[in-house]
Amino acid sequence: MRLFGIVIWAALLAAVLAVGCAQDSREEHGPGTTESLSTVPESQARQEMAPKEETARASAPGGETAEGEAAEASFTAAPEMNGGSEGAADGIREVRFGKYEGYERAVVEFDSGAAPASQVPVWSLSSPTGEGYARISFPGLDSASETEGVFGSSILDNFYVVRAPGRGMFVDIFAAGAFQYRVTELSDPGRLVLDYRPASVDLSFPIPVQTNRTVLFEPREGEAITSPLRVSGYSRNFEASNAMVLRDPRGNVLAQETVLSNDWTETWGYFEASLEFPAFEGQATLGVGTGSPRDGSFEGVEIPVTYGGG
Amino acid sequence: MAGTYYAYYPANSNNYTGANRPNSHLVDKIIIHVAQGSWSSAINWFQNSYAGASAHYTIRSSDGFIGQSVLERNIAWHAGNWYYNQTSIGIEHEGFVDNPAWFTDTMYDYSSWLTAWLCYKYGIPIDRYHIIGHYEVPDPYDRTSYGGAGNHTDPGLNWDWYKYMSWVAYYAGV
Repeated sequence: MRLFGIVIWAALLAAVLAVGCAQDSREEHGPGTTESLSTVPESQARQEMAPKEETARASAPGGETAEGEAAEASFTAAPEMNGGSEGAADGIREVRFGKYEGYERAVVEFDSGAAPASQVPVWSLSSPTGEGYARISFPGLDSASETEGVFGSSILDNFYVVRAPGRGMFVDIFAAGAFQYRVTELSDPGRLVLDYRPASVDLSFPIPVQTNRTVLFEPREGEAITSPLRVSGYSRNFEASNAMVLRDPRGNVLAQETVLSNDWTETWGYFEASLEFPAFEGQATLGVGTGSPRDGSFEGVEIPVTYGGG
Repeated sequence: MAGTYYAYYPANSNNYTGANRPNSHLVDKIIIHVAQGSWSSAINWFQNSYAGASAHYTIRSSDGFIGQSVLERNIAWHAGNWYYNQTSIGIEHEGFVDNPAWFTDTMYDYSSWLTAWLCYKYGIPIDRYHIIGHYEVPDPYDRTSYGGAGNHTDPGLNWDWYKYMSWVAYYAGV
């Protein structure tokens, strides 16, 4: 029995040492890059690795904030969260990525004029349960120095910076599967820190289909659709033009529409439309994209859909 | 016009096709576009290797400044129709189709001067059969549709074709 106790203590000591080594080997990555932590200014790296040493506000579900409770902020699957300071920034400066023991981190930095913002601007986060993404809306922002990137990791997949309908911008961060998250605000410079860890549940919906210049947000692949069908997404298609065509299994056009997105040159532009169509049998195809400016060939996404009645 | 000014901001080579026009392809039309965006953002995007699009020229709304992205001898990707791309020069204009405030007289002025010069240079007749809007480009995949394959509508109803063609004719001395 005593020998068993010694073995337990030795195992615990080994585990603690292993965690320490893993933390020492943490790496920061820019979107689509592998960047050693040593290239990050020391003070900045320390701030992001140890948010409890910052003037940090950790947001709890429901928008509550608690001064100095960053270290206690726990992971959550809350569908809504918000925070930030009015007028603190006017643009997105950078979106970075870091990999930590048991979780991964996306960091959003902001511009205020040409300089880094010292605080985090007003934000709200929406993360529908089991959909594999978080949308962080910034109603006060108007520009973005970085518009998309690939994390390509085991939890975080990629992100898009999109001009929101109405005003502001939003950032969609896609994960490889279901996740829990926590949000921390850091100051000087202002940073919104989003930590993700995998959740042991399956996604309720497929992640939106994405191509080089079109992301189809709704409907999702394989969805049973009803008329009128809301189609939405974002794109960087030439002259902001987005065509959508619904075809039956024989290729006959059931509905089509061309709409403009609200951007394409500065960042991803949001679009939405409503398609009305008759009942059909079997598997139809919804194509959303545009004709290539080069030769007119279709560039975009195509997903199978079925008829959901109604 | 007070005096032409212009700068070259080369598009990324992924966004156009190299050629040797007019020896390799007849250039017989000008296609007028509206960018649905700002002058600088359009120029910048054409320099991005992922854009998959370009125009030869983009005209700034405020002062008519002419930015060139693709040399005329090369084939810019703007029409959504390969034949029309091969045989045309594409001119983008800063602004949005649903907001006529972007279509300033200064922009019409510099754009019409440029078009008149291109018509002279390539022997393009000054008429609406050869100076066309993007919305008049046939859809190569649907004989009943126009605006290229994307069925674009630019430059839109707010574009003043009468003014534009009159000023092109003026600069051409017609």
